[in-house]
Amino acid sequence: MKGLKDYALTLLMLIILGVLFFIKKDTATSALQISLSSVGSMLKILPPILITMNLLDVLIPKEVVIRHMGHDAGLKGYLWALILATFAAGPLYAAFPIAALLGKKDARLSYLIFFLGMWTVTKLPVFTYELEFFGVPFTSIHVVTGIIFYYFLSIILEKVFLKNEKQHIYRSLAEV
Amino acid sequence: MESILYYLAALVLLIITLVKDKNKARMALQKSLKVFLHLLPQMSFIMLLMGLSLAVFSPEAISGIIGSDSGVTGVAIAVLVGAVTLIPSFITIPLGATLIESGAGLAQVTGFISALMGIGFVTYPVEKKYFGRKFALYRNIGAFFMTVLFVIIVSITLGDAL
Repeated sequence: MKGLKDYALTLLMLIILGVLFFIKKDTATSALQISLSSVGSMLKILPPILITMNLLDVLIPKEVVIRHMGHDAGLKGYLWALILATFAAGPLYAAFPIAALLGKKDARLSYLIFFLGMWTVTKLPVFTYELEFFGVPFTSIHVVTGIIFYYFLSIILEKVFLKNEKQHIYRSLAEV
Repeated sequence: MESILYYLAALVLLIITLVKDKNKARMALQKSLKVFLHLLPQMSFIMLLMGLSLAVFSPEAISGIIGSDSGVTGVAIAVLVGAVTLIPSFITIPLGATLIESGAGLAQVTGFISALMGIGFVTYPVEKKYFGRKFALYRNIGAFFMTVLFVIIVSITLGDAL
């Protein structure tokens, strides 16, 4: 019954929504509507990303990734991570398969951490919105703080993960 | 819009791969389906939680709690709400602007936005599946510190909310 156990949290949410339906019908109905539209946007993004990443896995030779984002890529690796994250679009869960692909092709761990960080800061759709709604000072503080912070975080975290843990991460990436 | 690009990219790559190696293309598609089904339990939970959090935390409800005079407590609540909810990024920024218009403080909204985008309490199970527990945990803690730093800098330079 492994299948059912996987959906335990989903069932829990459905029960909560069911109870809520009797207490506050409006909230439960709108929650369900929003959930359904979220499913729609998830289906718009996750399947093509997974397919794209698995095809790129076949198409891109490991050497290409190693050359640009391998262990000895230096600052260039950070630049690539920044560019990839900036020109991407989608929620954070869409970034995981992309980082996973890079990791599988032996991209350096600190670049992956930096990439995920930049995904939450410089991603173009968010960046342009932020400029429009919050203005230049706010947005530049966000971007500059983000780049500096995640640069150091990626170096620190890479040091924190011992060699065997790194191998564990890369093995875990290879499995998904 | 972004979804059209993603599907287009997938389609173009699929054609290229099909031309190069039919077998590998089929394997890639099978693998994609497998991963998708593997992620589905978490995703269905995430979607339901996302609906519930957006329905419960309306802009009026949030801005009531994180007004400009709510101080550090308000920031803490904003960060917590941002961490446990999941809102599409193209909604996040306009929502933040709406919150400020309806009386929320800039520092509090900064914390909310940054936590919303960086800290993924809900996406944690998916992140764990990909990178393992320790990586997912540390990256989220890192995103928390990023949020704190961002709030401090914003409140020092742009506002006196704290």
